[in-house]
Amino acid sequence: MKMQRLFIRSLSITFLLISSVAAAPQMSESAARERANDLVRSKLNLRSEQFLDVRRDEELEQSLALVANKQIGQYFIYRLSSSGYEVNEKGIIHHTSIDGEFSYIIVVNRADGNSYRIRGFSHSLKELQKLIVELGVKITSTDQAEAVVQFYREVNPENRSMAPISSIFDLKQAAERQCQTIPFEIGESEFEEWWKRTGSLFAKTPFAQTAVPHDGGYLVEWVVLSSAGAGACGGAPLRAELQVNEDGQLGKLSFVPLRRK
Amino acid sequence: MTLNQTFTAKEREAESGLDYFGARYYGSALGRFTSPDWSEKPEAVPYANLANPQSLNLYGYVLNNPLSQWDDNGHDIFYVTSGPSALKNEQTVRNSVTALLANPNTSGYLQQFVGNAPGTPDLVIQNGDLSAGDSKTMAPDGTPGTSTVQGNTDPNITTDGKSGGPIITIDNRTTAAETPGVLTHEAVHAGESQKNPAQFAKDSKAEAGLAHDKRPQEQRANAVQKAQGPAIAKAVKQIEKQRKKEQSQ
Repeated sequence: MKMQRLFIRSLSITFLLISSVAAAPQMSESAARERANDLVRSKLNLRSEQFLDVRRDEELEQSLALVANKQIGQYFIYRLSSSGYEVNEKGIIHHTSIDGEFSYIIVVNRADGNSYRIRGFSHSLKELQKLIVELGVKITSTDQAEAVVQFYREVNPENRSMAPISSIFDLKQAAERQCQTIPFEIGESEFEEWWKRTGSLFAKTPFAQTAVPHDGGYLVEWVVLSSAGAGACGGAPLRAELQVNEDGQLGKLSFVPLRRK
Repeated sequence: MTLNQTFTAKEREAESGLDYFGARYYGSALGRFTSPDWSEKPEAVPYANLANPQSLNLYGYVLNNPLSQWDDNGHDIFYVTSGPSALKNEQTVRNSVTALLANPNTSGYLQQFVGNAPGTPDLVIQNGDLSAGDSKTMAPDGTPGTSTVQGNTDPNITTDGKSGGPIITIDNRTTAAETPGVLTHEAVHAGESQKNPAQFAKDSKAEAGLAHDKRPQEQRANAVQKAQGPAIAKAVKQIEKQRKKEQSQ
């Protein structure tokens, strides 16, 4: 009996020791931030004194946790941009980019320090797919497939206008923003014309996002607004289709004109 | 990229240690333009159709104008010529600036940067990777397209409405042939941001929610690019021809 107890105790100690060895030191938040900072600086050839805004995005970390169906905390996610406010001894400098939005998203795995450049780089979509593989995702429900698509849209690795339009009112508002100009009066009349033509066509069309089992995974569909058409200030509603495989991998995103009902 | 407007060129150089900050290098590189050979032999340039008589002679215009880009300090327009942000088509950029300064329809945008006292905001022109600003588009029939960014201007404005000196970045993919047009567009942004920094910052904020081509700032730059771009491109070719001729003599 005494021997047995001794054996169990030594086994427990061994287990604890192995556990402590196996639990590699986690990367600190500041080290992860530095990693993200370095990756973007090297892409942009920025020197250390040049401005780069780095912000941790905890909401996106939560979205990633939903994709993985795991607790949050394994990954740090940072949004980086050369636009923002720089405070220095001379005052506050506002950096803006007139001709485009230049933003980057970096994910850092705190366990092994691996990083994924999921926005702002030419191979960002591939990096996003790689991240999903590392998560070991197994998509077993429509909710999870939609969570993957939601994460994909939030990251937007290819910088597309693909915000979901969930109702005819959403469509109207999105087109109104598209038609907006300064002064507003000009855009307003163009928008009225657009709405007259388009509004009635899709008044009875369902806009809700759907996810259905398809080809071993799920097909997620939602409505987006296209770029403005020739001679019009607003675009046309399109149905975006994206296949989410069982392992979370994303298929090709395609757009087809929305059928009116 | 942030530059503090209160530093003199010398201080910048000492602090950054970067050779391009030493605009004197630039000045010496441009020595051939300001050399007696160049200035003593003014020749007609392709602005004969323009109203300003001075514009009929590019070299006279640039060299005799106190607001020349090649002032004594030579640090009003920085061309990044070394390091990873070095200009890919440096000579075309220089020629484009010369053409923009000489053309009375565009000179106002850049003239305000040159000939100023040390410590006033300067313009920086560099190359860079702007691919992150590219966007994928869908036409109303679902056809995919891509919109690429060829140039960008960071007006570098402080919150109290002062200009820290804008930075023009030309995308690495922009070709030499495209450069004069891109610079014409960016020169409008840079010039407007310098003329009234506070207003420019206000407009940028107000227009941020608009589609890119709907922004008045963009529309103005596009209009100037469309109207003056071909003339600037033509002038750039002639300046280059002239430069090579001068070099061979």
